[in-house]
Amino acid sequence: MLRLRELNPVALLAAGVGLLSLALPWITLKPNRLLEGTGVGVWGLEPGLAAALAAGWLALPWLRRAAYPLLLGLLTLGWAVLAGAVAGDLLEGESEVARASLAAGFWLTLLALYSASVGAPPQARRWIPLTLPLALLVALLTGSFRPLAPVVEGAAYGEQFGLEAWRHLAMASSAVVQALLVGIPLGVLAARSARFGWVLSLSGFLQTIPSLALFGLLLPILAQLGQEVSLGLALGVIAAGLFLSRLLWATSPSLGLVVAFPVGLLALVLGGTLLFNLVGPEPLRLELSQPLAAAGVRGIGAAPAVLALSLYALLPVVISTYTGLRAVPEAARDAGWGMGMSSRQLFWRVELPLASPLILEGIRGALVLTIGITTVAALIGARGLGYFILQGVQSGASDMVLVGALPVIALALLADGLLRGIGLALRRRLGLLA
Amino acid sequence: MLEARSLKRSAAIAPLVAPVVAWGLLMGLFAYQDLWKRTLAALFPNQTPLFERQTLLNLALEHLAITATAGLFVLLVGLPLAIWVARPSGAAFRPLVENLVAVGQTFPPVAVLSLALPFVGFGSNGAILALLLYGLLPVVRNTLEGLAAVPPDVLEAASGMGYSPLQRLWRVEIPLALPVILSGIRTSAVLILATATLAPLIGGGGLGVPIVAGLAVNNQAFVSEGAIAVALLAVLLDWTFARLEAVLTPWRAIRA
Amino acid sequence: MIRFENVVKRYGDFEALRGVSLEVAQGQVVVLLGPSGCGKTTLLRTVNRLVEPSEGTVYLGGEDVRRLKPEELRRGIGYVIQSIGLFPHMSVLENVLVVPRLLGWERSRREARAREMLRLVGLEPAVFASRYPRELSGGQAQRVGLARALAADPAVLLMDEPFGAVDPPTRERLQDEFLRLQADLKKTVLFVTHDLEEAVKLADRICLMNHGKVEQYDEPETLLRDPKTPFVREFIGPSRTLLRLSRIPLKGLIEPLNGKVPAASVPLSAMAREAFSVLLAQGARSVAVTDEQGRAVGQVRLETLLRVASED
Repeated sequence: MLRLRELNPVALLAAGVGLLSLALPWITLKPNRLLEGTGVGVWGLEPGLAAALAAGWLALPWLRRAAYPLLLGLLTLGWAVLAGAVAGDLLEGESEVARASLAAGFWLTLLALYSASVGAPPQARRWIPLTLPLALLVALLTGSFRPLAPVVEGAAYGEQFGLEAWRHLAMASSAVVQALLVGIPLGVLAARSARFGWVLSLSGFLQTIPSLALFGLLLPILAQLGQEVSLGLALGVIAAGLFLSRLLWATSPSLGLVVAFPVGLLALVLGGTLLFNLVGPEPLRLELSQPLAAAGVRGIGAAPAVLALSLYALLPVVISTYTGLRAVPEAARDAGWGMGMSSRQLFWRVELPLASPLILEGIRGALVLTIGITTVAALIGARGLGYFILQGVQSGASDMVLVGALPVIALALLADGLLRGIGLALRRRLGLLA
Repeated sequence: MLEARSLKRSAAIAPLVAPVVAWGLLMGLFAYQDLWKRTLAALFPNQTPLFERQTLLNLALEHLAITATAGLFVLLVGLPLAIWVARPSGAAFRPLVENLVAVGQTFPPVAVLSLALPFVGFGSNGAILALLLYGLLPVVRNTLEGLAAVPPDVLEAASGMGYSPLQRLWRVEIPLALPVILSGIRTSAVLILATATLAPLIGGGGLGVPIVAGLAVNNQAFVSEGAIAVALLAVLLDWTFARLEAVLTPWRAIRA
Repeated sequence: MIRFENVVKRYGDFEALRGVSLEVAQGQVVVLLGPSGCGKTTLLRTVNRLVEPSEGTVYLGGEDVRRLKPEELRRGIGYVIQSIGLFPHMSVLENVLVVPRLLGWERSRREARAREMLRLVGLEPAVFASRYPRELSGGQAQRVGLARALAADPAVLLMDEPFGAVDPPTRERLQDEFLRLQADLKKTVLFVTHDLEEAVKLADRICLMNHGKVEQYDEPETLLRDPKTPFVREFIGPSRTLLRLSRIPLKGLIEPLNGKVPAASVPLSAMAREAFSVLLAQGARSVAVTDEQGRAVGQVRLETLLRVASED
């Protein structure tokens, strides 16, 4: 048996918060989605389950090894089942429009569960990524969450929910892909020569501008562009501009860049729109003679959103490419030269692989950032999951806000975890980790 | 000797002259309603050119007030929290704080604003609390990073010379972590200023008001007015903090 | 001045110090010498309580160091470490002022003292006082470190490989200056190094340690001439002959000039080792010894040097 002083204070805190949350209301029963409701605790309706949860919290800090994550998984399952059961009990006999909204106790228990997973004893830590998702999956499959208001609201939208989620991901991922296509070469340039140091300042400057302001500034420009310029003309200008800047580059790189810059922006607008149309739910219709608006380049909608998001995602990509390449040890470079590699071979076989873990960090940052900011795009009619948030905010229905916000948070955490995992594997392969 | 010192001090503050002048100029520009009106009218001939309910200067000052209040709360909460978990007494809670900070970063800004509603109600006060939650992250993260990066030999020397733990924290660790902490505060300030643009969604004021109103009634002049103004504010704020970093940590530069 | 009584330090199962007893007399330079991991740094740090012994007692000026508050104890002891640990956010002057400030000295007194200390270590205050550490060379930084340790005029100095991180010519210069300062200041110094040559050059007594125990505690001459254990013999190795020469003044070895003056010369104040080096470099059999005015006053022959070096 362990003494109190040897216990992990974080696990103790988590248990304390968990117990405290059982004394608070978990569900707010509202006559309809907009009206105020009354908070209801768990002991009155489901004393058995509540007692089980309380016992679990009491026991948790004393456990070691596999028992800890196992109990934590059970607690997570218990949290979902208890909330679902209380909501179900309350909704029984109520009208269709009544809602069981989530109250403080529910959220506080979630916080306690999270804290407990962070405060897991070292020997138990590696089981957490297994038991927690498993518990959540079981809760989802058995329908524990179904009576809860955000789920009810989301379900009411049916297909549209899936569509907006898809659109959200399509916008975010097209923006990140564009940021990579532009940002990695820019980062390489900046790392190669101090002459291109301004690339770093420029991408920093872009991120300083508030997202809503960037959307607002792009609005009239893109609206004008979409109406006045045809697809064929735009493609022609891009091709000609790139050719010209290539020619100029030979004599003066800065002059070449002056030409390349606006052309590059135009290419970003077009590329982003086409990319989004390709992976998103909107069908792609292209005719060279049509104005760009027909292809989707408008002041409001996905086009300005993807462009602005690309510009935002540029900073993390450029910075991480730059620092990644700068951090390549001089010895590795020397060894490459010494073995007779050309500068191109050196870049692809030595520098880029060694910089890749840091570049991946940048991609992770860019993706997480973009998934979050895409919600703001709903304000300029780009829809996505931000649409539900906006609907909820405008009608004062916090459950609606959650319909949009929870999937966004889940997507961001998922993307974060996934890329972290890939990064870890990459580091291991490169021998950077023990 | 005394003269040399005051000379040194005024030289140290010199980099701040330019930002102060720039702030004055910007406020003057905001106050010059007529210029905005004519420019916007020329750009958008078919639309009401200027948001008339409130003057631009008023909106900008309100925006700055919200940003400053939220920023102040961020410092009051974030710095002590980060310093506490960086020390032995709070070390056990460090992973928890770090993880919460990382997770908080994934929250979409509009949602953070709106979910704070039930706790604080409608209006600018609500916005301030939500902004606090959002701005906390860079400050906490950078403070932890900065304190962790203080060289161990400096800590050893400080203890060996007889600094008590608190004196060491105050006179050595915090000053040395200051550049990183300041850059966190800078990021946080710019982030708060940017997110405050969304405040009108939950009934708050500031430069987001004409943007949101313009989007609602499809008036591009309103949108541009707010967007240009807030972008200028953000850039100037960022630059001011960059200058401030240089002034507060003169020891990092190598002088000729 | 400093007395260790059966000091033991355990980290888990590992014993870093296994019962060390040692006495350091006032005004002496005692060098703690040994391979890395022998416990010399740990022993040093028990004095200012950066390490607390598991067993045994450390006395400073006759008083158990545990009876003082750690901070107060440390303010009374100068402390110099290899990486110096200058505070990068403070100017050179502020760095030197740290301990006087902690001790609450009056402003005019502490500033005058700091300037005096800078001058003492050979840094002109007008030039260096307002510089920041990153504007200093390695040798200059180490001088500031020494000035900082001396600022509050502590009776005891603890030096942990203070010259380990600078290049060899600078190191030699710093060592010479340290000897010059010590001749004036007469501090009680505990000095850690793994460099046998440095130890022989600086020490009044050397404490050679291995595996947390004292192998031999003697004057350098005795240690070199008469190694007590196989470990000491091995640690000193084949260089002991040469090192012994570096402790023998030339004065006693001089023979009169018999007519012709050898081409090479060394000053009268030099050690035997210097004459030996010159002889080897020139391939000569004898070297002239010159006084301060540069006049040759005698000569030293190679045979003499070889004889004293191999004497037991």
